[in-house]
Amino acid sequence: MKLFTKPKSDEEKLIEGCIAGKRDMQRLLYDLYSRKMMAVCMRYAPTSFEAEDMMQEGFVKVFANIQKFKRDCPLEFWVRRIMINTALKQLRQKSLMTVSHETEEVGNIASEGVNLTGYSMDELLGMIQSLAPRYRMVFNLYAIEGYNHKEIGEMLGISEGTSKSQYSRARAILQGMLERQEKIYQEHVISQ
Amino acid sequence: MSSANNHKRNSLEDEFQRRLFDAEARPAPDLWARIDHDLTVQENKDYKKRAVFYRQLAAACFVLFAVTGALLAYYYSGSLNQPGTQPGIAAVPATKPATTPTTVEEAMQVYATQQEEAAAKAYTYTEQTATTKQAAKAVGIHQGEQPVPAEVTIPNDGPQAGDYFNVAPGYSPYLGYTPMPGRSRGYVSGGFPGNAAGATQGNLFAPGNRYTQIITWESITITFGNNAPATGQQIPLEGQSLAARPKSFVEMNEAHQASSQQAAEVAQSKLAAQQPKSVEAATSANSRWSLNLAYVPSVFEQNIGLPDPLSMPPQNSADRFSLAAAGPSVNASKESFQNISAARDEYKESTQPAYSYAVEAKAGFKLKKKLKLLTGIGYSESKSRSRSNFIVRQFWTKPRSNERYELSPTTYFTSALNDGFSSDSVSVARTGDSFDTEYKYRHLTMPVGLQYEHDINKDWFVYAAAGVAANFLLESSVSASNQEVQSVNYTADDYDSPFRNVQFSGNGSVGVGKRISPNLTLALGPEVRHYFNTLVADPDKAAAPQGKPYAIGMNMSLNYQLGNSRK
Repeated sequence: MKLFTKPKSDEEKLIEGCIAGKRDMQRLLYDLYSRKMMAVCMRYAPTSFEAEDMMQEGFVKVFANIQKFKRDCPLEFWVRRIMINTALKQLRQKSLMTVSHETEEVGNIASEGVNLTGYSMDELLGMIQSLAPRYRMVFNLYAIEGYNHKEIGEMLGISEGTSKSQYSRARAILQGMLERQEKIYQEHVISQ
Repeated sequence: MSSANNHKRNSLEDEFQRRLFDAEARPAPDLWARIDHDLTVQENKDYKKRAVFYRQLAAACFVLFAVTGALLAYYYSGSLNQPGTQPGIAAVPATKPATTPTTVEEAMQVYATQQEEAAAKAYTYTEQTATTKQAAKAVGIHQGEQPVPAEVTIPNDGPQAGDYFNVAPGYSPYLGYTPMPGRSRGYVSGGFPGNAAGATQGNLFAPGNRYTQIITWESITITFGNNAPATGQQIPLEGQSLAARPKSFVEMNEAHQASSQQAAEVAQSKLAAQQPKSVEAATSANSRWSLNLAYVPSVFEQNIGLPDPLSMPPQNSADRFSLAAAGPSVNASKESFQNISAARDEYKESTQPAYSYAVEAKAGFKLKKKLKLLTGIGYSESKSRSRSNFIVRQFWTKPRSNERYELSPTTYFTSALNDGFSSDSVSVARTGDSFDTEYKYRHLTMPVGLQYEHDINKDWFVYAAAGVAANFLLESSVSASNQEVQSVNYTADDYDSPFRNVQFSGNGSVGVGKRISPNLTLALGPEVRHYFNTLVADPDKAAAPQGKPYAIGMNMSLNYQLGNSRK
């Protein structure tokens, strides 16, 4: 018999409150992660309205399934994964994930010395949102979330090769955007 | 070169990850309100799913209760209808009387006697009720559903000599008055108990021996078969008024018509009154039903004593006495007599209630805002315990060889449950080591009761409940921890069980309750359960004094309100 029990962490109390369906605890969890998750959803959605829809559905799923959370990772990661899955599902439902098994020859684009410090958050998000949905998905999952192509293929229901191909295309497009932005910036500096 | 090869992470990926992975963005201010709304909708869906489940569960429980009740009723009605167990129609002996009339004159005389006796004993002033029909069926009497022709033609292969038959007018000696609507007059031909020898003499179906009676009423009862009632024997017609017997058949007819009209009016008014209620119940069924699970740990007092040898009248000699007031005499030594007294005192002192409990699953129906009807099914295990140093040893003596042999030793309690000690001699002996005896009774219970609740505040309420329960004995046992002593165990099917198979009890409880959630309440309070009968089926025959058992316990119940709880 345990005489002393480890005091519950705040996160544990939060989880238990959400499992019990306490609305104040659910609100607390929402306040804790809503900003980060909004940024996640905005990376996947083409517009902020659709990002809010994703986030709304994602949080409802979080509260409905929080009793399944196994505590084997930080709660934030679990919530993020639900948000990503929700985004993928929504985009799949909108038939935006129809993948053409194209193997585009985009060449080996050099990306040495990339520095995004001069770009604002909105500019970076704008670049990603301007990508085609399938490219946006693969780029987000690979470059930002850190999944490998095999995992991405499983998540999106495509082959690993297709994931690599689409990522290369997305990367090339973004590289082009950055180069154009750099060119404009240089021209602006020279003119001054 | 294929683009598939360009998948290695470099500064672009790292830079995007550094800037965007932990990025934050402000969501719309009303986003939480939308999520809150979605959560509420989802909770309602879940609630509805649960409600459907619990309703189905309640329906299943109801069906289970109904089936169980029907089976038990069928089972016990079957056992009650065994000959000799219950006075009544079913116990009418099927044997013929020793003396039967042999001539027409005798038969007519017997019939006249029957009519006189029937007039004195029984009179049925009801329509062909189910009771009457059932009674007729039980004794092989067939009541005419259709108008009977004036002349009843008896086939040759019909009744034979020795069989009984009876053709009676509306006032039948066997069935009483059995009017038939639609006929006012009729002829009846029939006969009387025939000749047991089977000879033509006295056989009313033989040519020339026909008896014809003209009557002014139409209801006819014809009885054939060997299991007809014996001469002079009347079917008991309990609860039927003799005082209101009409003097003529015309009065009977009028009374019958008036009764029929009144019954039809009552039925119509009941139907009319029931219709809006059923509609109302259907519309508000969501909030009226509830499920109740109760657990009642209790202490049980079986209220069975042991016979006092001093109160028993002495028999033929000073050395012989009977342990039963009206039972057979018993031989016992003086030492045994002293041991009996000691065993009795010891039993009185050492008997104590053991842990007993009852569990019940009930469905509740809210009759009024604060009044609830609860019924369901339950199980109870009642135990009592005593410590003893004495065992009862009984001996038989073989008549021819005069050899004495011993029956299995029993507890004094077990021996005192029947009508005394039926063996040739009894010895109540002291054992070396004391042993424990446990008395256990398992019942299947079917409770029904009312519960009144009054709110103290939002979360707390007080309640008072009262009801009755039918308790069906599943098993009873008297087990001793001494290897030498025979333990007894009776099931519901054991005919030699001295314990009552079905008995009724009343229970009352008061307490407090707390609302855990809008639909779930927990109630706690003391409960008293008192049985209306003794545990032993025939207390008059038992040597031991028998009281009515009771149990005092603590009722802990969970109540789940189906639908909206605060309607």
